[in-house]
Amino acid sequence: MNTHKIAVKFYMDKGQDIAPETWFKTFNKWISANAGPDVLIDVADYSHVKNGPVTLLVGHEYDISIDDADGKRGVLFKRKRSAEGDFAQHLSATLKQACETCRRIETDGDVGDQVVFRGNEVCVVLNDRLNAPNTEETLQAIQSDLDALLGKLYGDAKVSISRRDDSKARLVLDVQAEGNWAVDQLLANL
Amino acid sequence: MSAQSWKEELDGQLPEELRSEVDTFEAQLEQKKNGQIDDRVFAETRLRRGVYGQRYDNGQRFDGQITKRLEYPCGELFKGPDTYWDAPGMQRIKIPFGGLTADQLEVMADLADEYADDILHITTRQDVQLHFIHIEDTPDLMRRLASVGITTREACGNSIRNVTACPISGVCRTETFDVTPYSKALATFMLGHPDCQDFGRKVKIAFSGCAHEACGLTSMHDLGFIGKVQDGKVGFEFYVGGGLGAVPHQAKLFADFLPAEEILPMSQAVCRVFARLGEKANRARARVKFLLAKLGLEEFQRLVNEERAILPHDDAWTAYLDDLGSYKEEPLKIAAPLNGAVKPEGYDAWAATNVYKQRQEGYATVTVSLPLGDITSDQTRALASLSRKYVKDTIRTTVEQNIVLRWVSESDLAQLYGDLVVLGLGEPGAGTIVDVTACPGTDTCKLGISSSRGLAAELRTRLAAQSMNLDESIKNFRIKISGCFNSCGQHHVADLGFYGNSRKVNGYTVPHFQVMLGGQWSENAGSYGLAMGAVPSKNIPAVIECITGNYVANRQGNETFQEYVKRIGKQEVKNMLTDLTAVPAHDVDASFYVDWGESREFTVGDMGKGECAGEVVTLVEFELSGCETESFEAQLLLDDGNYEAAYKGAYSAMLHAAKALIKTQWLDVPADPNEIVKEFRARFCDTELFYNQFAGPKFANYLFRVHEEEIADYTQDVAHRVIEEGQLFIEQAYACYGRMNVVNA
Repeated sequence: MNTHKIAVKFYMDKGQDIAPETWFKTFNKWISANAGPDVLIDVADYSHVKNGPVTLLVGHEYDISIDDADGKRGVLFKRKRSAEGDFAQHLSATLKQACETCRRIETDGDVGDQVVFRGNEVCVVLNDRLNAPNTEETLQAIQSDLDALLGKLYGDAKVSISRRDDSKARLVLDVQAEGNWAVDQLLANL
Repeated sequence: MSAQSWKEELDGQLPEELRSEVDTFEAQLEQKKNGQIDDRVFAETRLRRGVYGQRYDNGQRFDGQITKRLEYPCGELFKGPDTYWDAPGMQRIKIPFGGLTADQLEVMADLADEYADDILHITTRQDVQLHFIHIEDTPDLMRRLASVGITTREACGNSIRNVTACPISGVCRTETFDVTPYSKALATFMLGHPDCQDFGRKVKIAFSGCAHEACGLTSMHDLGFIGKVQDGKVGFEFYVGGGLGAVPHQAKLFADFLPAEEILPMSQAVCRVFARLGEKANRARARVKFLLAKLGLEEFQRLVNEERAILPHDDAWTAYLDDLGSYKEEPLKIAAPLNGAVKPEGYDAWAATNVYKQRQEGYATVTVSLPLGDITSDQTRALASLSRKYVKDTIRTTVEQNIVLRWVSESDLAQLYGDLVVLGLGEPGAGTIVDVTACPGTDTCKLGISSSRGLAAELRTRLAAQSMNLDESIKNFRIKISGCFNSCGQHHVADLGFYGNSRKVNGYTVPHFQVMLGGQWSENAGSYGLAMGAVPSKNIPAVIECITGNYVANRQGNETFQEYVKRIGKQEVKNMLTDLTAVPAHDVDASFYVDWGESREFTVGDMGKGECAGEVVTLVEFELSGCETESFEAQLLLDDGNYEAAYKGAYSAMLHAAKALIKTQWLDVPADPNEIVKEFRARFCDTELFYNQFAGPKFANYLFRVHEEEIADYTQDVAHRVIEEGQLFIEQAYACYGRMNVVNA
């Protein structure tokens, strides 16, 4: 099993009530200030739809959205273009970039002091129905890569992984770790 | 382990024609990357597959202070003039008459997840659009659509666009008859038709079941059909030359009654005349409406009738009529009234606007209101599931950017409403002043000047909050907004229409909207609104309050809004708006200099060259480019060791190149290879038109030889030789066409 199309979502503990216009402004500022290797292109406002991508920052390699899918607000980091490496490398890189995105938000000049992410809960989506169908077999195929990465992320903390059981949906894994974890700590572990 | 591909996964499962289309497009992508296709030709090629450019695809974006480069990783690789390869684009998906199944909805939802931004957008032409897609994902996306019977072919470009039809045809209480099978037949017949490949611009077609309702909007289409029965015979009133855009034209009645068996050939004849005589060089005047205006209706009719008389017969013109009886929608549930069912809170308000009682007793059509035409992929999948619970694949998109479920048993309405509310799809107000329609505007369109979606979202929010208190006389007003004068938001046919423009004020560019009042949505877009002047974007909500307030206060008796606007006159309306046209100085109120739904200061510098009009590529250039693709695919087959297929592919490419040249003199060249070769010999070889300055008939002889030779053993050498010769033949065809153009010029 190999796919680079992975999305990672971290939920907000604080900051859920920040208005979409604020996120829109913040992401536009990111495009303007972008000094990173990737190209950030545009911001889209979808705050008029329910449980969707509220505000979307469109990039070339990945998209970042303030995401309400599944009814809980968080930040979704969604990798789109292919990169070198195997699945374990793709998963690790995506998780790290998602954490970096969260840290960037938590330290942003406009919204940083209003947002805190819940580091002990992460949602991993394999956005590729062909190569990673939502089956127990797929989960088994990635289990060792996942365990290794989560072990690195959370150390000895007890971690549970559950797969959402919907054959028509993508493979979505809800990961829950014991204890409180700040984004900075997760990044240090990666 | 290497990743699986959708090409492998769906191998053998796609209709042959659709499979071949997508494979060809994929090969063209490769050719483009290898520099083997001209930017202009490739742009029209992808547009005809519905693959559109988006704003910022020219590699620059205004950030509110300065314009900055977007450094796409593709370097200097383009997918059209000034359109970078890596720039995310839009995929338009053609949905003839808006008809969808639950399976098709699900596949589109999956595509939105995996290739786009988790959003499906319903357009004002019943299409579906996905945004922010990378071009290299489009072949797989198209394959997955093909697996459920959808093609994106001719969704854009200079072609026949999606054929639209009234979304309640077949269940409407006032229609003459169900126009669905006729619209479907015409859409199928015209798709890829040889007579529809050489237009200067697009052609739009619509069907309506009756004259008095809005539904089909036939008056604003290039070709419009309104169902009619005459002397017991089924047919249509046939209109031509309608259109919106910067210069709107009401369609003209071409035939008071066109029998059903004539709608396909007559449309074909119109297309031939348009392809032959329509403007090509000046794209601003390259629509049927301009040709009609230039020739006059009588001359246009004479030419079309003359063309109709000489059209070679085609069995397809009437074949579908034998099958009409097989077209039948079925309900999933038995008809039953809502008697006694518990109604959830909000049900009555929703039912008043979103439920249409069908002519079939006990059934209703339910409109699912989509704000700004948007629905998430999760909602779409859930709606597909819901549709399976209540109806049997009787789903349609609407030109008002909503989705309807037809054949809902009335007994299910309350429960369906409850289910829709859970999905966030239970909003009332369909077809009312709240249900604002908008084109993509500056959000994603390169031509957008002002933010049509930003304004629409603002108006929707404000009007929804007031909806219970609005006067009855304005509740059913239509508000339609376009980001520019091109009218994709259909502002001409709204009670309150707006299109984006800008004005220079004290050295700043300020977003404005032109106010259009009194357009008529009913009677198939019966009349167009009047321009009343440009107002700053930020004052448009106040404009609506002012105009509707005056109408409510001063209307006489049952005077309609159209009648009211006509009575008080343009000057009086302008007077009402005078105060609202003022723009405060930047240091007094800077918000006027930022558009709705934006955080950056306004600019028109982000605009680009529009792709709606497609690229002006002649039929021969386009077909020769297709021959190159065929030749390229033959090369791939050779590399795979499939020598017979490679040989035949190269031969076919030569035949098609010859055919393309013949078409410059004779449009009806048959598909029979013997005929093609015979005609090519007579027209291009005997006349020495195809002769090379130094090599004489050498390249023509390649075709003659391969046409005549009988191969017992398709070896690598033989296949290789024919591929080489085929490429030279196509090169010579280009050269020949170039010489012909010089002579003609």
